[in-house]
Amino acid sequence: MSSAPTRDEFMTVAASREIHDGEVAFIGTGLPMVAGYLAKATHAPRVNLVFESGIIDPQPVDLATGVGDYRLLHGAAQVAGTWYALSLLQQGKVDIGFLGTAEIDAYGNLNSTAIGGYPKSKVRLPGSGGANDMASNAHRIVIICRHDRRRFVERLQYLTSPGFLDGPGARKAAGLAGGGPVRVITDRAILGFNPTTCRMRVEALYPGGSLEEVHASTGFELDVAECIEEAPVPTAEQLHLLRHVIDPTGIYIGKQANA
Amino acid sequence: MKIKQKSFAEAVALIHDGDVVGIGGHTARRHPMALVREIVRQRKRRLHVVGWNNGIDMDLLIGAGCVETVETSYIGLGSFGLAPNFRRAAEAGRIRVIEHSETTAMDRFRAASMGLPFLTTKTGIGTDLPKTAPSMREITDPFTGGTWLAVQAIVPDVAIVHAHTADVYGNVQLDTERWHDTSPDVMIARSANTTIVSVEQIVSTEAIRSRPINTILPRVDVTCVVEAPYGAHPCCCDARYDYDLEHLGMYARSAADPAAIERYIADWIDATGNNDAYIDKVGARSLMKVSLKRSTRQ
Repeated sequence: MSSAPTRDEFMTVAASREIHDGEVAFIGTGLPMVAGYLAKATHAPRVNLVFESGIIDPQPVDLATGVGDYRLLHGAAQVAGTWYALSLLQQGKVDIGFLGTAEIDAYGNLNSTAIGGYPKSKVRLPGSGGANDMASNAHRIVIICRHDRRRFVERLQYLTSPGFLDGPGARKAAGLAGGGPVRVITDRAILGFNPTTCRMRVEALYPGGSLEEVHASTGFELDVAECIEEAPVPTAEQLHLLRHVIDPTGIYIGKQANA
Repeated sequence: MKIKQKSFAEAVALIHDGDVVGIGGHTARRHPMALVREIVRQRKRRLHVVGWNNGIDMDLLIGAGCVETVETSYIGLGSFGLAPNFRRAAEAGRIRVIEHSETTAMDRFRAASMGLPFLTTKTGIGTDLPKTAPSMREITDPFTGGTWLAVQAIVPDVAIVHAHTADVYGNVQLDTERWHDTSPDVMIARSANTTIVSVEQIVSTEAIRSRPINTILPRVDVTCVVEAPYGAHPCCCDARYDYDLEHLGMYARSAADPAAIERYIADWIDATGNNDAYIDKVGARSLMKVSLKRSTRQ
């Protein structure tokens, strides 16, 4: 008997569904790594995972604690180097990339640089790393983060990685190549973007979640899709893989039910 | 052929206060930590340190007061969170931070290593990243009229990188069982006026010349080599050893407190005096724990 899925497990399954079989997926650590491994173990066995550090198409056994972790090499087709991985992005060969963020606005622009002023600040964060590279160049971006008013803000304090910038047509006008964000997966909802306005909208809720709660946790006006769906419930097979095969010690997936 | 092996003290004496110093490595992987510790010992000041994705290497240099400007895409301690010394210094405005994406951080070295004045990219366009970087400007593609970002080459006064083996003449190799991203380290090393390479072992020139495919930097690119066993500790070093998570955790706790980081520097860097004594202090048991073959299924 397995216990009910946690919110982390819902989020991971939702993220893994964004990866289609045969795609090139740019993967970092955390939930995206778990989601990538889950997709490969289930509906997307031919996914080509690419790590920023230049590992191409690995058959991972153990979760890594960082993108510089030697465990990532297991069964890889090539150990190509960071510049190759970034070149795949610049050439437009990466279908999907996953990002976290400290702040996000209605157009899916991201801040992972500083909170509370710039250059002097209250909290200095690590900076772009590969986030801007992915957001600028991947065909589709999926953002995975916690959902609260401090994170979902009307105005970013620093624009580290581009979403739709200031709206329809702005990416193209700026000269950006990639397609921009398609999904935002949070602990409160699954969100997407209105294709006409490029503004974020609620698309699916978890069992027990409510639109009111999502609006109350968002610091900007949020659109709502015409038809709100129920987030896909993790299957017994997915839960087994997450709990016993991919992340058995709970490195990235919280074991406890989320509040 | 010129003998290029030097002692730590001699090699790091090539770095001067105020220099631009390129640092190899990635997140917590293969940063030239033994050279970083020697820079701290010699109390270099006002350095402009440049990398592409950094962690304890830059955080320690900032905590020791060696740094005036940092230029990179990222400074963090991985699973141990934010980099505390970087945080304090940047939040208070005590250091200047020049922001990058990974592509533009690397393009600066890549351009210099190819002898070009700049490279062009889309990465960074439309965001705040180019605003703090005098080395990035928008330009028009003369062929298509498209908008691109030009990223100026950087020629560091000195580059420091860590590798596996070298001969005394400065031919530097990585083992076949290497981690991938040799490419940024090679670009960083080739971009600088003076290039210092620390290696796990100095080996015979016959050993090097029997496996030329493993050479990442021939002697023409190298000013001097320094023998530094466990020279990336507490970072990992490809298949040679894993991260020392206990040490990294202890560092993160020390760095969180300005008094504690002073004690860390006094105990682990000043009191040890050299890399051999530092490795003795780390101890054989800790080094056995990070032996990679024990910690992976490979």
